[in-house]
Amino acid sequence: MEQQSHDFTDLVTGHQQRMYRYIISLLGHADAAWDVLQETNRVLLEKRNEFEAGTNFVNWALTVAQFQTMAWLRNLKRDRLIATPDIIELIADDAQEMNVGEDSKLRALQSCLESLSDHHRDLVHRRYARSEKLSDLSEQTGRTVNAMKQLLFRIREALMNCIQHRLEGESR
Amino acid sequence: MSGNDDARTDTKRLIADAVEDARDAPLEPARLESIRQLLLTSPEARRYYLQVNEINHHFAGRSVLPPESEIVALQSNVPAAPLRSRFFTTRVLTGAVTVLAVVVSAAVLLRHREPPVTRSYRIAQLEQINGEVFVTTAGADARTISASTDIASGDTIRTHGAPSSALLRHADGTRLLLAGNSSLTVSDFGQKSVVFHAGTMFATVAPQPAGRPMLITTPKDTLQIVGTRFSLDATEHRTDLCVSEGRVKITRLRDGESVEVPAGQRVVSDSASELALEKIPAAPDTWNVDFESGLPDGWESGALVADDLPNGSRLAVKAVRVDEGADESYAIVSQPNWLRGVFSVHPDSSMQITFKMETPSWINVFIITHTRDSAEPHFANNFQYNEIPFGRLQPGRWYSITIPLAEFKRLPGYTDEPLQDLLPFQIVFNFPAPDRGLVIDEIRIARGGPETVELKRID
Repeated sequence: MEQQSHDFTDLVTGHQQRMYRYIISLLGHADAAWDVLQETNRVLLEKRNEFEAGTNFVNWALTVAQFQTMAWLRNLKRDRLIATPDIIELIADDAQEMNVGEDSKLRALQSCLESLSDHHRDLVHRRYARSEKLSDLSEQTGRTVNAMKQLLFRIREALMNCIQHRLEGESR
Repeated sequence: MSGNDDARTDTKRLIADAVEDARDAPLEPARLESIRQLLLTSPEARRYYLQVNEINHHFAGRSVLPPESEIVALQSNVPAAPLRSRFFTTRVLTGAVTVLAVVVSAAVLLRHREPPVTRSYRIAQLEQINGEVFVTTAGADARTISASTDIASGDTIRTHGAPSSALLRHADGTRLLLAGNSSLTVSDFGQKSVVFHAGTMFATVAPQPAGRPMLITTPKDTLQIVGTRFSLDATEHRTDLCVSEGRVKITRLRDGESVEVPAGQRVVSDSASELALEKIPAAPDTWNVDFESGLPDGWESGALVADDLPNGSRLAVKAVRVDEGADESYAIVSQPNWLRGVFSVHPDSSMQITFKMETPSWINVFIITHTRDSAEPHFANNFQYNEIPFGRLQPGRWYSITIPLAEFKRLPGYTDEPLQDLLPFQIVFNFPAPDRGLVIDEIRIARGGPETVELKRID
């Protein structure tokens, strides 16, 4: 029984990154995703006796994460995030599928990021890693906010296409 | 581009712009509802929403857990404790003695919602309260605790102020001492679980049931404990674990690296270094802070200044205003170090301060101490020196004063132990309003100094 307990804990701790990525794709907000992950961990450990060894832990854990995300959103003021429990219910399965093959996607992304210009790479870093506001970036670059959004959209589209292309190349 | 392509692009732009704008501020209600309707009705919009979230967080380097959320697992049977909210986190003002300061490392869990699990039974008792201690029960506001109180699964305990502490005792004899500015959330579902948000904790863990070790989650790691004695200091960036008895296995989630820490050893888990064992260091005989690299991590009060400094110095620290109740005062306050203390005191120890004042007047210098019990130290006393000969000081001129620590006087009302038998964990310089323009360039604790107070001008 002690060995089973250690194995289960290893499963939970060993899949934290997968669970976090899944939740963040649902919510689009890092801090909110961390909150939900904590809650998911608690529920998983509380329900450890319901998990049957040898079955698919990831599917079970992600399902728990989905329901914890929905429960968390139900308790949130409606205007804080875009997602709602109804939307989560509709996107959860797609999010699970997208989660597969994450490592190869990350490799492809890294490679594609290197093909960006220094200016665009810096912009992406400032906006998403350092969370600088559009209004601040706009002021510093002399572009309007809408122009900034348009530029980020084009950069993101280019990267998505690049990643897709590289993944298709890997699978051949 | 075909009409369908145009429509697809329009959908993408709507979603992308909404996600982009929502990063900076909540969307206007009408727009939010419009986007939500689009997501509810359009599979394409939903797929794109997921793709945008995924790639935005890859950009942020957040496709992995942020370093501060690493979990170090120490094998011990405890289910994960209730969450520490980052979404609702707020800064906590902490203080030592008479000051208020922004605390970087402590966070208060504000429950804005009912938790999904109902707490219904006592799992421990909170006792030996010292200073300011708060308990937050799920779904309720924090309440101040001054006497022994029952703790239920899901409760959050917070100690506020460097001298504060509280002891959490479980029925099986497990004891957790929370000290300084610290906070934890505790639960028990047949396994003890602690989410240790930040601060310093000393633990004596009774042997736990087979297969159910106690689980402690810090901002960076998770610890599983079967029965041992250890101390833990955690911030958002690192976990510092010292094991006194038994063994503790620590696993860093970010890369899965783990190590077993035996008695007498220490490990520091952060994003930069490997998990390497070292002997638990004793408090050093000397201490020096010169602010050349800025304020030390966790420094509680003071503002950096760069002008009119002694030769060779680039940065110093100025006393800043702090308020306690109706009393306005100014202070420079060091970071507290409950875990190992700032320095050890010897008969020949002295404090040397390089300083200036724009309006020379008396100031208090406090050494804050706790007992030397490595398992469960308690706040001991404040030792005070307020006899800097300000009448000899010229406004704005730099001086060096060396004060034998034997000159510090114990304040009444607390332990009678002499300073040498205690462990200093924080240094405070303060004075009441008006601002005297106190600037300190360097603080040094050393041995072998003069036997009496020495003051000299250095510019």
